[in-house]
Amino acid sequence: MIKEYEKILKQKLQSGEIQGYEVYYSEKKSFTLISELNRIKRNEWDYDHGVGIRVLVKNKIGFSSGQNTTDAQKVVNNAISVSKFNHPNKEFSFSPNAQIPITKHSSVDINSEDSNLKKLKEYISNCISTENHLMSSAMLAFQRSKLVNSEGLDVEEPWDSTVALSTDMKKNSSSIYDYLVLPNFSERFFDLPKKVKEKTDLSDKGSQQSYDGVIIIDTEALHSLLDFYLSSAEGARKHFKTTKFEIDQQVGDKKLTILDDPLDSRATARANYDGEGVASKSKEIITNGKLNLFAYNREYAALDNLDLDKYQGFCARGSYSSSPGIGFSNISLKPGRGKFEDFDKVAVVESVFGLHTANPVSGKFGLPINNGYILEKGKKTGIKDVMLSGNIFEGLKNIVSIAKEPVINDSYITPWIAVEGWHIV
Amino acid sequence: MIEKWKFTNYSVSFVLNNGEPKISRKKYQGVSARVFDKSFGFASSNNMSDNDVVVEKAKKLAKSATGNENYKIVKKPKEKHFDSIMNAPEYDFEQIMEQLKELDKPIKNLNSRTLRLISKFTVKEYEDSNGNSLVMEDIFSYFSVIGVAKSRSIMESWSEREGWLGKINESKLSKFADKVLKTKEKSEALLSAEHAPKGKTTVVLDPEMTGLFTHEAVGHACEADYILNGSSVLIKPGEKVGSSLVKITDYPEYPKCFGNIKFDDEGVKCKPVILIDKGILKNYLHSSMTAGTLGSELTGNARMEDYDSPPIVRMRNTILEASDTKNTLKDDEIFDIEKGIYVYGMRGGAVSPITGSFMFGAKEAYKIENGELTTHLRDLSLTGNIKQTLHNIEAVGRKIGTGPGYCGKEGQNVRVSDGGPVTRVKDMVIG
Repeated sequence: MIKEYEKILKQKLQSGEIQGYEVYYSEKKSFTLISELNRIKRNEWDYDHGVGIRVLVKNKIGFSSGQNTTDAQKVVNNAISVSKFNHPNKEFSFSPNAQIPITKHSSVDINSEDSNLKKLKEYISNCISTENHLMSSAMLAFQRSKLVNSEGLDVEEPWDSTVALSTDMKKNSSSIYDYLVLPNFSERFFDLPKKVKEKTDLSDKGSQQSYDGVIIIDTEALHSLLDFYLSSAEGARKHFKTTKFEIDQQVGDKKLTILDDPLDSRATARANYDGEGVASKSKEIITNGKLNLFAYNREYAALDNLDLDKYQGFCARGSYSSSPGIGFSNISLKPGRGKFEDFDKVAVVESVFGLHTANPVSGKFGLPINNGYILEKGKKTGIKDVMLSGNIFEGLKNIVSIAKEPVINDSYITPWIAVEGWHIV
Repeated sequence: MIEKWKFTNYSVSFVLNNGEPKISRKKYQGVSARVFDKSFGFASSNNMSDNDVVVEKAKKLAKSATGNENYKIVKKPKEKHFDSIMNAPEYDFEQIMEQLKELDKPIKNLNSRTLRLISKFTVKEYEDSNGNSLVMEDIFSYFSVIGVAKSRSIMESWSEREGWLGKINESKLSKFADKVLKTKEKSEALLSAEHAPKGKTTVVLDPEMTGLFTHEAVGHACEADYILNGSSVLIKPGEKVGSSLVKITDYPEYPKCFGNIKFDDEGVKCKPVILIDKGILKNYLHSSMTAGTLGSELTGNARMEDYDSPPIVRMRNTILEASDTKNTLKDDEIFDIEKGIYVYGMRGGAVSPITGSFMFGAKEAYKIENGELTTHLRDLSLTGNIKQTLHNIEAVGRKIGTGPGYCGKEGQNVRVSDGGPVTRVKDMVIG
């Protein structure tokens, strides 16, 4: 498909109608098994492919997308026609041609459909057979992409896989949901239901209680909160002045060092290049609590008159049909030496929900705790019907300790952190 | 039974972010099929020649699931419905962008502001092996504005929105000037508001917050898929679950509402559903599978976001009203309390239907002291339990306000509305 689009765009380039172009092709296949109570309720298969094109016309970028070759001419004309209404971006250029080393990451064979489904069934059967099981889903997704542009760039990401298992257990009025997302099949998926069952039992015996003091934010809750926190380090928010962050500003505690690493193949956001074809590189976003850089793609770096070769590499694409944006890849947090035993009494928040209700500008949040407990002298007491309340920017400036062992889940490689200044109400 | 869908979508979006315009327009389409054989097999593809492929895949997937002999599909009444399909609307991009720029002018000195306008036109085709066949046209537009005010290190934001069925037109846009201006006034006023206190208190919810509670806390807990798998706290029809003052209905069509639909995505004609009346749990919202399995009537609540997401039980326009208009109060009577908090404007919410706990964010709040609104407050969250909160409703106002939104469930977003009058609730936890 990409060839037909590129042929039309090359003609437009030669005729001078456009200054440059980029064609991004992506293809996805996924299988999902959904169980409810003691049976598999639904099996799903999905296939999706298409191209997203960007053109540069009179220093303005136009985007459009298509899913077949018959519409190619229309899609190209569409991108050109919308470009003239868009904001000028004089410094923008598409990524230069580069030799990007390509690594094939996945160990799952896309062609082994039956054995892949069998593996997913094993995971979900393990959930179903666990006492208190309510619902589960197991998903295997494959994605590949290719990107070419008028600068001669031509790169191709081979088929990569993502495996996800989520399960929800219920006991009386308590329900605990947890998930695990990894790049390949793993024995860790078999441990998930047992862990969720233990958490459900603890929650069932728990009670509503307020707590002030040191709070351990366990890895899953931390992933949600870091997502929210790191959005303040996105170049688009800098450009549109909706972030309080500044370069070299102390935005977190000195113990806080955060790395963006698309080259770490243990987590799901691994990639050989970003959404604009910039070779992957690991970068420290925050070092000892100080902001090192804003995450930019070439489009926003150009709008802010920054050196494009330096401020790039964070272009994210949801799919072929969405206009390229800004996003992080694998986020890892530098471990510390913290241990649960360091605290006589501490609250542990394992997961929260409703993060979309938090205020990304002021940083204030009040989030229901899905799963948590008080740990006192080695004894766990479940807490329920309570909310974690605080300010993300203030809390991450008051880190008491960071654990030694990171946990990998989805695109995060992080240990837990213990903070002061947040409350459980 | 075999069901087949084909969706063809045309969407356009206009964004003006700190005065920087951006337009995008796209067409996308796909086909899907679902086969029921004690469990569902569902397959979808955006390769338009995959019509037969998705049916075969769905058959195979349905067979490979273990299934549940208790699951049944209710027999649907025969429907043949064909909307007269118009062409996808063509817009004058320049004119619309100029109108957005005009709207943007009065708020230019805000630290940051974003005006966003989208319009989506969809042709949905549905047919099943029982002879039902429908072609439905769906067109809606949505406007939103968000402003961020800044004073030294404090930043506060405010947003306004409007959604309607139909295309973008000039006269509609010109009506949003007040909303844009409100964004500036409110975000600037919040800079000097005090932080909200924590604890248990009486709250007065504005219609937007009443709507949020109605949708998030009650509506979701009445979705029959949650009832079927035992993950809702509202499990006993006939049970007194709240104050006698309360009636909650999910309407397929309500005046000027964003969630209006005539047929659901299983080709079922939609009906209004009374969920709670006089505080008593009455009915649930159904798909053909939940209705069949629970032995209930079809309600027309099975909806899908697009061709690639199977239909699941969703709300339409969920409204809280007084169960008897004689029991309503005037707004000033509702505020006539010694001490409490008035909560205004919603900043989203989340609920766990299984435990009954919920949390809502508010845009702003005011202290109520001896019937008067006094101190202006920011950053307020409300949390509570569905049944307890329903029981604690002690006063319901008269004038119903509704608002548009997108409801997310199982990764699918559909357009909905919710609303209600000003409502007073005792013993709510704020933080």
